[in-house]
Amino acid sequence: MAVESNALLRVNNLKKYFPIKAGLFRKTVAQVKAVDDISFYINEGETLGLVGESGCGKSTTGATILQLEKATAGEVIFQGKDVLSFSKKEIRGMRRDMQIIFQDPYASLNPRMTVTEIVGEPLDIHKLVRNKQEKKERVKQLLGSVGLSTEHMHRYPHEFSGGQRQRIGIARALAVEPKLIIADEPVSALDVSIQAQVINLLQELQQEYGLTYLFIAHDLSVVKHISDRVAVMYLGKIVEMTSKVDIYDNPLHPYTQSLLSAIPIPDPTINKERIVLEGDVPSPINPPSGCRFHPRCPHVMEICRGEDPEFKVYGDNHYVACHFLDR
Amino acid sequence: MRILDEREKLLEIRNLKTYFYTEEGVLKAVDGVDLLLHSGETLGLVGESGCGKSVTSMSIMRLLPSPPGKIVDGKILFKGRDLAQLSQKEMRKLRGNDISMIFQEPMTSLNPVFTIGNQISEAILLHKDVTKREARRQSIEMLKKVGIPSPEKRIDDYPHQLSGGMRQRAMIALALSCDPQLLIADEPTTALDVTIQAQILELMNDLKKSYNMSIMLITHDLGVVAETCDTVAVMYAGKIVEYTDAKGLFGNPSHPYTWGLMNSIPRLDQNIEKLHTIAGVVPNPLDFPEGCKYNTRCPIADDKCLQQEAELQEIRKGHKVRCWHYERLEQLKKVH
Amino acid sequence: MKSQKSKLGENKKWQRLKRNKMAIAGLLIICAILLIAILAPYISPYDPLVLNIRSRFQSPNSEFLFGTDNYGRDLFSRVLYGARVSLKVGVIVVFITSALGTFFGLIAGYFRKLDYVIMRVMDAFMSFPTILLGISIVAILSPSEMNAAIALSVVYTPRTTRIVRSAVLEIKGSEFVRAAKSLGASDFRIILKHILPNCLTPLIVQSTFVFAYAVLAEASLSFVGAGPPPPAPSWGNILSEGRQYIRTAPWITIFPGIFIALTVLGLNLTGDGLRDALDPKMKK
Repeated sequence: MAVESNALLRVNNLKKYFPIKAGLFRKTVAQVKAVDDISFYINEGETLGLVGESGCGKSTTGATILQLEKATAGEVIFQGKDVLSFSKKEIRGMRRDMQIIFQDPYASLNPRMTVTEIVGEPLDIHKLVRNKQEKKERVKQLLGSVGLSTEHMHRYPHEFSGGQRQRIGIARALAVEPKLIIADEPVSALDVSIQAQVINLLQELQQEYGLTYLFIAHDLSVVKHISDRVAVMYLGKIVEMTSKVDIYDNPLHPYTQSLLSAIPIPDPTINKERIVLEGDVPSPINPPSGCRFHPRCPHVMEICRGEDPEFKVYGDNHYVACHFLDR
Repeated sequence: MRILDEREKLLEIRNLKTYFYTEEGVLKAVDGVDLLLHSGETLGLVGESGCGKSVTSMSIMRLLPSPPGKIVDGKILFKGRDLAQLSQKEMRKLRGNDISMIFQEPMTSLNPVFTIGNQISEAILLHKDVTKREARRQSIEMLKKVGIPSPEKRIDDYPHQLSGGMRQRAMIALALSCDPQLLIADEPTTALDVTIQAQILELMNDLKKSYNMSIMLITHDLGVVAETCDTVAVMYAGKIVEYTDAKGLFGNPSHPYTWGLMNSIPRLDQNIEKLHTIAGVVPNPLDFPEGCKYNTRCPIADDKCLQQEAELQEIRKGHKVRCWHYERLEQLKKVH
Repeated sequence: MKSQKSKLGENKKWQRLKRNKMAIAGLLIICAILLIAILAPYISPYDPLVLNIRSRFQSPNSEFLFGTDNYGRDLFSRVLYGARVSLKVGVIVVFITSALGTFFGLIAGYFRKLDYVIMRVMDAFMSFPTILLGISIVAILSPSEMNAAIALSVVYTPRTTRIVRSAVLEIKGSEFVRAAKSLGASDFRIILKHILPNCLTPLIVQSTFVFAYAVLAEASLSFVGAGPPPPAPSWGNILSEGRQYIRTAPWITIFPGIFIALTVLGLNLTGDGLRDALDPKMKK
């Protein structure tokens, strides 16, 4: 893969396998290959969208980069250092620069803490404020920047709507002034009219603070809207990665093509050709041999069954893993 | 619309009011809804969480948790019979036979301790006078129709052995096993991945044609509506705010809420810098504002909207809107 | 307007508890018995320890409300004083089991490696029949009020540990704990600030049950002579002494029995009510 000089984050050949244990002695009988050898980079100040269906490993990728899950193999180079080799203490320090926004605004906030305590917690952990007064001021400022009024400070999460809770979660992530934010399905639990508010907020914050996003979602329309580049994942692999314009105008991988055509467009006058894929996503426990998409692929060839396609560049920063392109 | 009107009226809802009597007060979940569904037609019921779309369907099925839920007023005419007046015993005969329902989460609506074959056969035996063997044969037939591969084997699977998409197919097979005339689908594809959603929507469209059945599709996804529905009712805070055919709705949204909703979703086929947003949040159903319920979020609301709620009026042929200022919306559209 | 709403939220739990008539009845019973225990010296008509051979085996009458026992002691006074012992044992047991159970439960639930060791030890304790284990421990320590309480604490700690551990396991997997971890919080901080406060609901409910068990078990221990030694009255040893006269003077066993049953009933009703009132899933 081409070396990007100004890449803030570079992920090389990252793997995350979950062992399945059974029997009296908890022997590992199989492995869930949630993330299986993926590589990508994110430049400073840009948004990379990571899109895929449930179980494709996109959330695990985010958790592994943050080291909430221990990687099985690979490299995660953040600001020039491989964070996978970090000690426990170094990891905690790293979390000042790398933050996460969660999907579920209900589950991700401690129900027994007030908003001030939630947003102020990272300030305490990293000793970013000297006293209570300073902490209060900082929390006020953070709440203001995500569009929450400061009269909310002493309330508990259950008194807020989903959209407001997600704002609290964003304020918490911003508290440490991170460089990279991993947004794991940040809007998919919200109502349609609230989704747009949160998406716009994320974009405004990016401009204001020069943030870099890894935006993980299953909704390609949302990902395409917010991202500069998009990576498409299928069953633990990235199958295509390119600019958001190219992903829509010139999708090269058959999976990307079918994913795009499957998305319903809110306009009954548009009558598009739909590629309806056969069958279901196979289990990541025993993924298909060769190209993992081959059992569902409309262009499957002999080579696809046996050989894993290489993730190669086709044109300007357009990476694809598909044998069909090399015919 | 005129052509549709000549078709047989299958379901007609008049002034339905379903309230929940809670500790905190009376929650007017559905507050005066009128709907008309012809046979062979798909009606979309769209809105955000808490707008009353699911309560409407539960009222039709008479599956409201009661107490606290109660149908306090209105008629639900199914082939001329008022469902709101039927006894639970009479309803049981209709349910699964004439009217069927599929839910968002197939895992929780299928019983985990019985095989899918068992569950489908049971539904058939309940409503049809057939032998067990015949019921099983029909079950296999149904599974084949909904596109489950090797149904002879799959019929003896338990729900957890099927994937999400297959489970939803099994659920549809169960719902359709007694040839219902009306299928109520409550967010049938929300829990599914897009590629599987495409399969299920296609399946539902095919089945609708081959069975000449009517579908009431409840969803929050305007994309799904555009692809499947003939007519659409948009609900907000317990009331219908816009009611028309799909082309009219998407071509010319005339309620500020519908228009705002359409503009706030990012679209694949368009590139915009910044999404349009609807200000504020859905009002608390226990504490709805005076006048038009959308007045707290509406960009064109004025004093009249704060005081009085508009009627659902026909602004052009077959296009009903509940708004005083739908004409003013046209000017707003030009600005955008 | 909005701040009123938040107060309402706090009040809701109390309101829900209040609407539960059974829980209120339970609470009233507990309060009454607590009052009896506190006021025993003032409301008892006689000294519970004074023997009066002339008035042995009197059935309940206007002079001796609950009658007298084989030594002619006033049963009413003895039952009132007995409440003190029973409740004291209950409180001590609840205190010790909650402290130990929370400590072991938090560690077992949070650190997978220690989980196995701690829980096997707890299982070993749980595999003995409750009363047998209690008796054996008292036998080692010598019978006294405090030792009975310690024995019962040992008996009931494994149950509380199990309950806390399962709560920890559930909370540990929740997203807000992941969030705290991703913010760089230490294990200690996560346990103290995020997990412990969310374990309190099941712990409080469990405590009411432990209290009830302890009152009952103290009676059983006394009954077999492993409780506070006579002549000090506890409900259990009154029962135990009256056992041999159950045919001729049944009131000696009946009255302390009624009080034990009432206390346990009151605590169980309160416990059930609390569980419903504190359950966040009941919020909407």
